[in-house]
Formats: sequence, C-alpha cells, structure tokens
Amino acid sequence: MKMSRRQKKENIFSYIFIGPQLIGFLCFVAFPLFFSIYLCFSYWNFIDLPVYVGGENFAAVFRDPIFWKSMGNTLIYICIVVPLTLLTSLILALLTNRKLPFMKFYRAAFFLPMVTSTVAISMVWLFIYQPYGGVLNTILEGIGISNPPHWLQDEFWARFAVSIVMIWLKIGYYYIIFDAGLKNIPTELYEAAEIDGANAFTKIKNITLPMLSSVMFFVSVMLFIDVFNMFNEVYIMTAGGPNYSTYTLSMYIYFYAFTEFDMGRAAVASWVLFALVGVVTLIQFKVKKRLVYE
Amino acid sequence: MRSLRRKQKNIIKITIITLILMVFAIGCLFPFYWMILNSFKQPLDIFKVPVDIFTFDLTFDSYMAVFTYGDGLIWRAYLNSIIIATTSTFGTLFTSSLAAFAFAKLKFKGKNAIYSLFIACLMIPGQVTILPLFVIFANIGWINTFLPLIIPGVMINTYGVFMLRSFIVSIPNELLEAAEVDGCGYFRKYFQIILPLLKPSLVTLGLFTFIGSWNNYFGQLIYLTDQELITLPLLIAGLKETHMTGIEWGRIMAASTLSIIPIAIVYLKCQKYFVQGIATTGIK
Amino acid sequence: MKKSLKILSMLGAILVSLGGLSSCKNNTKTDEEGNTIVTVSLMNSTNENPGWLAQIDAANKVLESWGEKIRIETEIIMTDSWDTFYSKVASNMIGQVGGTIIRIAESHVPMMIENNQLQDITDVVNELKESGEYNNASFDGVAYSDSKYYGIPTGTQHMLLFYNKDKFDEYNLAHPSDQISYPSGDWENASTFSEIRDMASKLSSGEGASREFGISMGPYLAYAGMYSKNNGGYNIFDDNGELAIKTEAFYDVYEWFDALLKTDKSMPTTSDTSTSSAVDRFLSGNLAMIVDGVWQLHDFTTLTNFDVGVAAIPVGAEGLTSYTTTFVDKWVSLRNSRTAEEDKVVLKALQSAEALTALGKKSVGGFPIRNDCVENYVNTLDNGKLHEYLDTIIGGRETGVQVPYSTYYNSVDQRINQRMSSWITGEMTAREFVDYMDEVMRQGINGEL
Repeated sequence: MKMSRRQKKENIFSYIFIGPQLIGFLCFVAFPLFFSIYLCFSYWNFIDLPVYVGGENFAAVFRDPIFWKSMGNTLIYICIVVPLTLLTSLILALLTNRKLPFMKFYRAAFFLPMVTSTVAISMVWLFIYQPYGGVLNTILEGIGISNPPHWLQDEFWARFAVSIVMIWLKIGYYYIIFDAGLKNIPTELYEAAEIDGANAFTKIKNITLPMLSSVMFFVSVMLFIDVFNMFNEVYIMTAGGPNYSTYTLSMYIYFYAFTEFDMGRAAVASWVLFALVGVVTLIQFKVKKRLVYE
Repeated sequence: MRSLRRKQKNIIKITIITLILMVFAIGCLFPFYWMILNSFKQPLDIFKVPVDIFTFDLTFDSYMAVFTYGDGLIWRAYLNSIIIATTSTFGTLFTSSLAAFAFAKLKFKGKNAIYSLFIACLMIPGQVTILPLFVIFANIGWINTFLPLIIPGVMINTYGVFMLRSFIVSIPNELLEAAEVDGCGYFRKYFQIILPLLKPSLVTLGLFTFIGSWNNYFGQLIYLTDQELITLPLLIAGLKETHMTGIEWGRIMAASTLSIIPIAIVYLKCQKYFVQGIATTGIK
Repeated sequence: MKKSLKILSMLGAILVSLGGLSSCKNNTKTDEEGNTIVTVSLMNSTNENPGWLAQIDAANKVLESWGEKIRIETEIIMTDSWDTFYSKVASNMIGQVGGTIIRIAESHVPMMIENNQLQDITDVVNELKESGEYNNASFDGVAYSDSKYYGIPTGTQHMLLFYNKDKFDEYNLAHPSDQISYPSGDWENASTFSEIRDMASKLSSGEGASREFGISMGPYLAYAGMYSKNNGGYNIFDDNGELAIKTEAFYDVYEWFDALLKTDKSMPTTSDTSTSSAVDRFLSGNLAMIVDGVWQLHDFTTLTNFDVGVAAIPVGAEGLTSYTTTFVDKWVSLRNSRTAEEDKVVLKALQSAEALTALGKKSVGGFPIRNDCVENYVNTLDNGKLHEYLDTIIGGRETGVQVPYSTYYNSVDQRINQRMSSWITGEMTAREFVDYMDEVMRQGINGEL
C-alpha cells in the first residue's frame, strides 16, 4: 500500500506529537513492567544481579494466608467503597441539580478532601475515631448509643471506619463528574416527561439514570482502581490491623518489598494486583457493551 | 391558590435539601476544622478528653515551631515543592495535550494499538514499577535531583492523555479543516485552535497533577537526600518523632495546614474552569 | 508479530543507552581538600540526633588526628518509622547512593546478613577486641554469623521499670492503712508479678476516657522471653535450642497480662493508646508505671511535673533473678559501598574514646561498648534526680537477655501483633494466644511464612 504525501506527513507529525509520551511509556512503564516480571522468578538482594529461582516466589505468595486475607479485604473494600461512593456522590449531584442557595460553598466543601495530603488528614481521622472521648463516639454517646464501637481497634468495624475515610476522600471528585454528567442531559427530555405527567421518581428512573449510564461506568472503573491502590489511609490509621482485618494487597507488597527486602514475593503480589485490576476492568468493559445506553 | 401551595411545597423541599447538603458539607469540612483548630491549640490541650471542639485558645506556638524548624527550612521546602509541582504540571500538560491531539484528530499507523497500550497503563499499580524505576534513575545518576520526580510524570501521563483526548474528540472537525484551508500546519492547529479550547480541561488536569506531585511523600523520600532538596511532605515527616507527644502533634497540624494553603488557593481560583473541565472528562 | 518485534528492539536500544550512561557515573566523592567522603545514614529524630551528630563530629576530628584523608558526612532520612527508613536503605543499596554506613535495629541484621547485603568487618571487630578496651561480649549476638562479624554495636540498651513516685505517694497519703511500697530496684530481689498487679490495680482509677492506668508493658514477642525467664522459664528457646513457648512459665506470664488487661483493667489496651501512646500517658501523669528502655532516661529525667523512679523488671516469685531484654543497635556498612575500606576506618573512629564520649555526653545511644566511656555515660545520667537509681540502671547490664532475632523474626512479629487484638477483645484466651505464638514461630523456623 502506498501512502500519499499528505498521509506520510501526517504520520510523521503524529509520531512527533506522541513521541514524548511514547518514549516515556517505553522507559517508565514498559521497561519496569518487564523488569518486574523478571523479578517474579528471581531472588534479588538489591546489590547483585537477580538470581533465577523458578516458581519459588509464587509458591510463597500463594501458600500465605495473609496474602489471601488481604485479597479478601480488597474485595470487601470494593463491596463497601464502590457502591457507597457511587450512590452518595450521585445523590449529592441529584440534590444540587437545581437552583439552591450556597451552591459555591457545597462545591468547595465536597471537593476539599481530595485536595489534601492523605497522610496529614488520616492522622486527623485517628483522633476522630478515638474510642474514648473521640469526636465520633462523643456524638454517638450524646444521641444515646451507650457502647459505641472502638472503630479502628475493632476487627469488625475497622474496615468500615477505613472505608468511610476513603469515601470521604473520593466523594468530591465523583460528585463533580456526576454533576457535569447531569448538566449534559438535555432539559427537553424532562419537559416532555412532565407533559406526560411523570413524577420525580419516574423521571430519575427513566431519564436520568439511563442518560448517566456511561458516566456511571467511568466512575466505577476509576473507583475500582482507587480501591485497589488504597495504601496511605490504611497504613497510617491501622497499619493493617487489628488481626489483618484492614490489610490491603498494596500493604502486603510494601511490607515484602521494603521491610523484608523480598522483591520477588512483592513482584508476584503486585502482578496479582495488576491482573485483578485488569480482569475487573475487562469485565466492566464487557458489561458496558450490554448495559450502557449510548 | 394552587400555585401558592406549590410554592410552599417548593420552599419545604429546598429547606430539606439544604439541610441534607449542609450536613454533608460539614462532614466534609470537619476534619479540616479540627486540624486548624489544633494547630492553634496549646500543645497539651490536644489530648484533652473529652475532646473540646469549640474553644479557640489561640496560640502561635506550633506555627512558630514550624517556622523556626531547621533555621527556616520551611521556606526552602515551599520553594522546592513549588518547583517540582509546577514544572511537572506544565510539562505534563504540554506533552499529554500534544499526544491527545494526535490520538483524537490525526490518522497514523498503529494508532489504535498504541492507544490501547496507553489505556492499559491506567491499571498498573504504582508498586509494580517503583523499584525498577529506581534502578533506572540510579543508573543514570539522577538520584538526589528533582528529575525523577518530574520527568516520568511529564513523559507519561496516560490519565491525562485519556482525559484530554475525549475532550478534543468533541471539538468539531470543521474548525480544523477551516484552519487547514488557511494554510495552518499541525503545530499551528495545536497552538491556535486546540489549546485555547482546551483551557478548562487543562486547568483540571493541571490541578490533579499539581496535587499528586505536591503530596508525593514516598517518591520524594526515596529520591531526595540533601537537606537543600527538602520538600513539604518530607518536612512534615521530619517533625514527627518515634514517640509522639502533644507538642509534635500541634506542629504537624500546623505544618499540614501550611501545606494545604497553596493548593486550596489554586483550587478556589480555578474552581470555575474546573467544573467545566471535568464535565467532559473521558466519559464517552 | 512485526509490531512486537519493533517494540522489543526499541526497548533494547533504550536499555543500551541507559547502560552507556551508567558507565559514566562518578565514583567516590571527595571534598575540596581531597578527603574521601563517607556518608552515614541516620533516622530523623530531634531527641537523639544531637547525640549522633556530636559523635560523628568527634569521629571526624579523630580521623584527622589519625592522618586519614577521610571525612564523614551525614544523611538524615526524613522519617519517624523504621519501615520507611528501610525503604531508604533499600534504595541506597540499589542506587549505590547516600549513606553506606547505617545504624539499623538488631531485628534487621540477620535478614541482611542472609541476603549478603552487609560488608564483612571481621578485621575491624578483631582489632577492637584485641585492644582490650571494649566489652568483647557485646560484639557477639546477631551480627556474628559463620565466624564473621557484620556489625558493631552503637551501644547497649536494656529495659527498666519506670514509675511515677508522686502517684505512689498520693495513694499512700489517701490510704494510710493500706500502704504500697515502690517497686524494688534490686535485680536479685525484684518485685513479684502479684505485687506489681496489686500496685497497678490500686493505682488505677476512673472510667472510659478519664481512666488512669497502673502499668503498661508491651506483651510483644520482643519482651516475652524476658518475662518468661523472670518467671523461671526460658527466653523463647530452651538450653537445647528447642522452642520453649508452650511452657507453664510462659503461659503464666500471659495469664498475668490477661489479668491486668481484662480483670483489673489496670493496663491500657490498644484502644486506649490509639492517639496518645503509653509513653505520652506516662509523661502526662496518667500512667503510674511503664516498662521501657534506657533510651527514655533522657526524657524522663527532664520531667518537671513529677518525680520518676527506676526499678527492676518484675519476677514470677521471690528468689528468682530479674532479667532484662537488651537491645543492641548496630552500625553496619553496605556490601556494595564504594568506600568499603574507608568505611572500616570510619567505624573504628566512631568507636574511639572521643566519639563515644561525645555521644555519651548527650545521654544518647545507651551504654557505650568501650569500657572507659561507661563511667562518663553514667556520670551524665547522675544528674541529681537519678542518683539513687544508678545501681538499678547499671545493674540491668549484668542480667541482660537477647531477643532471638532471626531471618523470619519480622514476619513472625507482625503476625503475632496483628493477632493480639483477638486476645485483648476476648475472642481467644491467653493460653490460646500463647499457642498461636508457638505455632507462628514454628512456621517461621520451618520457612513456611
């Protein structure tokens, strides 16, 4: 096939345009990825060249109950964080999708958590969750709950406490995305429905949700990725405890890479994480084809 | 009569919604309030139980401690943090908008294959690449410089490409065709048509990049060593002690408040663009 | 297929160019006067750094007086946690940048030896030993492996029982008919577990947030051996090297903790220490007794709100000797150090009388390993407040026991700490918790973790 001059020129310019990103991709993504595959099968002490050890690292990871527990926790976080963040930010967007006083204030307030450093704000949450005399439990006692849980020290409640911080951190971002999505829905659709005598609920069900389906898809993909990468919040508030109930896969990787100096095991775990995210995203794309209204 | 009742109903509805939203807004703001409150408290009052969230017993002790720490190291930290964050922000905006333009509006060989590779990058957890990256930077002698904190972000930002591309796609082709009739080359099309239209999205992406780079404690920890290269997250970590007493908590709250201020200002300034910008983020 | 080949060849080109760049790396650093620079990594700590920096300053002077063309620089790592500190150590190794001499906790030494990450410094240690100036026994322990030495102690530190004298006095004033005495400072005649339990429960009062506690002792693996030995048992392993956790002496210790934590509620739990640590509570007068290390002496003696006393670690019954866990942080040199030979000279300079004196003057680093510097360190401690406890503080050096650190220690320790909440909340009994400790230790020994 022969290219026209114009096409040739366009090809050259395109590669100039994507050049920086392409080089970056090869150096800072592709090479590290290959290197970490190599590490999966090696023992590396950071000083000498990695030594091939076959499937040893895989065996070590897969027989480790802590690894499975952190996988399970990641799934639990997904079950809590993804739907709750999605719902709350959607509801907030629906509520503000009208003329209201203090709009600017709400926007700024919802978004502020995203702007801060997770490290500093996680420490603040430690104080809020403090079992005796902390803000949250003082309020709970005030409204008549006599024995509020010891949030971060309680095996059952800790993962909820951590999830709430995660939701709190992410809500503003997804709120704005939903808000923008709502603004993109043509008002004619609602007017037509009103003429047909539809109430607010049927309008949401029949117009808003279908029109928002592609936004919801995007939000859920990004949320899954957020949850898979949860680290700082957990690390600072609970260090994965109590009894590994808040331990995440990211923390597992960090512990083996940087405290135990066992890069092979960390590499295997991080590839499992990568594979998980990949599979989930693929499924989401498949589901998207069937559900998303376009 | 009917419209009056309807009006009444509407007022009730708005009041209820306002109440709900206020509760959420206060929930979002409370931790910040708490942080600022404690940065002004007498150090030992921080641990007082039950917590006291209303008394402002103003003292600048914590702030003074932060400002005098290491002979005013905080100014150095501010400067370095700003250098790292702004260069990586502007760099990434430039390269990713260029690439996004090519992916959205130009035809070239291997476009789809390369683009899908880029999208797959979104899924890579940071832990997979951090040590191999360190090996690269150590080998080219970039450790203890700002380069490892700036260059990778500038050279590869798949999220940015993803987001900007979806915006550029929605720019009508006619605009570009008209420019071509006027004899515009590819670069002029990019600078004169795409960039001005892209402003809201660029502001949004810029803010995200800025925040990410501003708060990147771990990267700064492993790549920076010299005292002259200190950044705000490193400074905050430096204020901590192996066992924390009230004094250190106060100082950390003060330093964290100080570290949030620049981002909060940037955010409030760009809020207008910002909302427009995300409106078109990679949704389609 | 063609596409992937193309990508691979590009990748190869990049690698080659990276390799080419790497060869032009500069080697050792030197200063204007031609001195080779050796970098020492320290964790950031405003309490301790004045001590370490003074030691390094003095060591620089010593190097000059020895006529060595070497100068020490410090790299202060901005973190407060050992975990993050080790990530920086890892990056120093990978990049051959930053500090080549590092102060690390004992717990990491066996693993780093196993990984072949540390320089063999047997010649330095032998030279120090032969000089006769040092406490030769202190060189043994975890840094000694396969008849080679890989680390030099920065000093030895042990655990003590600190108590708030004012709280005891207050209690006695309020209860003239039911007086309690201070815990004993005699290592051969220490207070017993039941005496301590009694004191702790009497010194506890209040509820919820305003509860004041009697005593805090970490029921962690690092201290378990010490309490077990004080109860007539073994320090984790028995004399034949067999695991000795499932022994009555060990069970008793945890039953005792159990009583303090759950029955008497005289010991704070993790819920109580989530934002204010046990040390914070002790400093603010909320806790009557705390078992903590020599490293706290500096902070505790500068206290103004109450008088602090020092006692021996409690024992199971009268007549038993009181032992105390000893911690010996190490100076190590990384194996891929570009200044390997210079590092050895620096290690010697750091252990010179001048350097250790400078360190001791700031009362940092614990007891120096050089005999003629011990007195100097003790004199710094003898600042009036501590005078009457000097014998107790020094006495602990005679009955030290070491934590059995190993390559699998960190993993075992993490698992035990995580499981502790199940015991504290009552899901498992103290005996079951001990059984769990035994089980995890066995897994560690068998390489199953």
